[in-house]
Amino acid sequence: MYLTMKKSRYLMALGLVCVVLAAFGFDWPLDDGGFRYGFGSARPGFLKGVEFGGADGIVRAADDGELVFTALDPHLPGGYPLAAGSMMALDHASDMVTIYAGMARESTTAYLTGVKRGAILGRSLRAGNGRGVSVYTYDSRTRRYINPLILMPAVGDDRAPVIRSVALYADGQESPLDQAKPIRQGSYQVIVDSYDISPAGMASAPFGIRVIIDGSERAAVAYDAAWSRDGVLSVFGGGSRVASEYQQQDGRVHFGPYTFARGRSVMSIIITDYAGNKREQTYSIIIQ
Amino acid sequence: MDEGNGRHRVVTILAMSIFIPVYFFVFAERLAPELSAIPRWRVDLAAGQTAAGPTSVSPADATQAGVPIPFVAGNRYGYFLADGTILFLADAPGGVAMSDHGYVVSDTASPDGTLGQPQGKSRTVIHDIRPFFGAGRLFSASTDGTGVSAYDASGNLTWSYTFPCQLSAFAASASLVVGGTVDGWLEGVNSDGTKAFEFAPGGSRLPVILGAAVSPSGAWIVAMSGIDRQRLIVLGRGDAKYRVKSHRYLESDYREPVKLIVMSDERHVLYRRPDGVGVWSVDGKVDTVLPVKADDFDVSIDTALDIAYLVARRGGKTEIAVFRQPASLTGTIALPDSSEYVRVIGSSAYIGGQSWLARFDFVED
Repeated sequence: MYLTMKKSRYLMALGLVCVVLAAFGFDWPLDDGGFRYGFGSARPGFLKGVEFGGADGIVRAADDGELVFTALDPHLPGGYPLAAGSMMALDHASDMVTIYAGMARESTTAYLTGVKRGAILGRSLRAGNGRGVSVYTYDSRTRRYINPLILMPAVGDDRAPVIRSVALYADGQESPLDQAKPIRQGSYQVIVDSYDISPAGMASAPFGIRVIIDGSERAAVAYDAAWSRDGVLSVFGGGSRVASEYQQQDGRVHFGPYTFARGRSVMSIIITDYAGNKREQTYSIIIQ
Repeated sequence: MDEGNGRHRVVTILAMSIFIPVYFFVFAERLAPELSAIPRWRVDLAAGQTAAGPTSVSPADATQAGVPIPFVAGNRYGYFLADGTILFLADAPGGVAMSDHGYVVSDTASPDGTLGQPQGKSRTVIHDIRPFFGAGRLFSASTDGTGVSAYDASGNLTWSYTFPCQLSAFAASASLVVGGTVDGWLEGVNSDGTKAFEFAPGGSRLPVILGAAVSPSGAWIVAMSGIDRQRLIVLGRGDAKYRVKSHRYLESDYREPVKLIVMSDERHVLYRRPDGVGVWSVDGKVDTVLPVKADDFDVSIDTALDIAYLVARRGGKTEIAVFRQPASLTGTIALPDSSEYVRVIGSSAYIGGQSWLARFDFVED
């Protein structure tokens, strides 16, 4: 009896592992993970997938699946211009859908219906702006984009992310924190300009950002998911934020507002990347 | 034996001689008058006419001569009048979006566009726009294919809307935008940018929206959805909500964008199917097919002649099929292979390519 229960638990656990692997075991569709911009980069607007370069690369299916949609004309019948001129969508097990935008139209294998992992879908468009194929991983059950960089094999990276600048913002004025100028007491937003070098050498979004003020963690975001409800894009499953309020057009991101009382405050910004590399910057702020 | 055979033959001949006249008198149908396509004019679009702005006719003259008609073939675009007067022609290497009332030329070096009017000299630069027109309204698509922004006639941004997934179908009327998504949902957006409705047709093994259309009034929405099996669904507006009014399963297995149209009579729906263009009424009572194979098509109703014209495109070939509603095909006219541009207004068809433009009229003999 005990053995049977143990066996059934084992089988359940094994089943769960299989489900997780089936759901999240995607391969890199292009360039062995040599992406240009990762999830959350400003391209413009919050990138809900991962963007590869404009090289003449072969695009492969991230997993076994079935082709559900191919659009090779530059516009949908209602006139809507397609993202990057072409699009393919594969339906996978566990309600996941992978979407590939930007393949050269004449190269696509749109005649396929059932697709095996690694099967060739087409060739990357050699775009003049350097932008090639973008790949999105979408959970159709929860109707959310999941960060592909979480679902695909890890890419070796020993470089820590970079913090370009941190500023406090109030009443239309920015006060850069690296200038050690006193600020007036009041409520401020924290604007963080940071990036992680992508495998293709571009300034891509990091994976996590934490804001710690006077020893207390005031904000922590992990770039894991994005979704839209009622026309508004929100990001981060752990702490929902409206994307347009979080990320500026130039890619800098907002936290707060936080109230700074007269005296001295210590603020730390911690940026992490997908390989676990970390960059921490601490500022001492004098508040008048 | 011979006498019996002879009597039988006489009876048969007598019966036929009575039946045939009776058939023609009792069951007679009015024959449709024959239609002819009469050429009206043809103009060559010489390279010299490709000026940067309106050159040939002053706005005042144009107003007197009629309503400007937009023309686009490849990168060449412009406006002309029904009498063949070219208002202006220009080339847009970065592409152009056109409507009856305005156009946006995309910049080659930046994501900006320039909004112009056919009879005006003012130009408005709109930043970060991927322009297109739907029902005469100016929109911009987001770079990832999930969003749409709407602009007023002056080029001012009025609203932006992000759909939950990449759009696989899009339709617009004067008061409504409908987006169909790769994950099989329809979502409507009001003219103020607020959500009008969302609806998942379901009923298929794989959910996806392959095509969508909305009637001119916004009262009817039609969509083709799903794989295994594919469905045609008509939603009707009632009490400010959209509900399923009719539907049918289809034999098709499209996995690409599918053209759908709700005709301006607000009663009939045209949809692509493997054996022609399907005709379905919004109440589900008409279910027939026009035997014209087309990957893409447009339709125009000629109220003067009480007929409709279907501009059908398939594999680089274009033809105009003339039919009486709902699906009585009168005839077809094959157009030259170089016909990149086809527009039917009333009883007049305007066709053209990058170097020519012509008009012919349908007339009853």
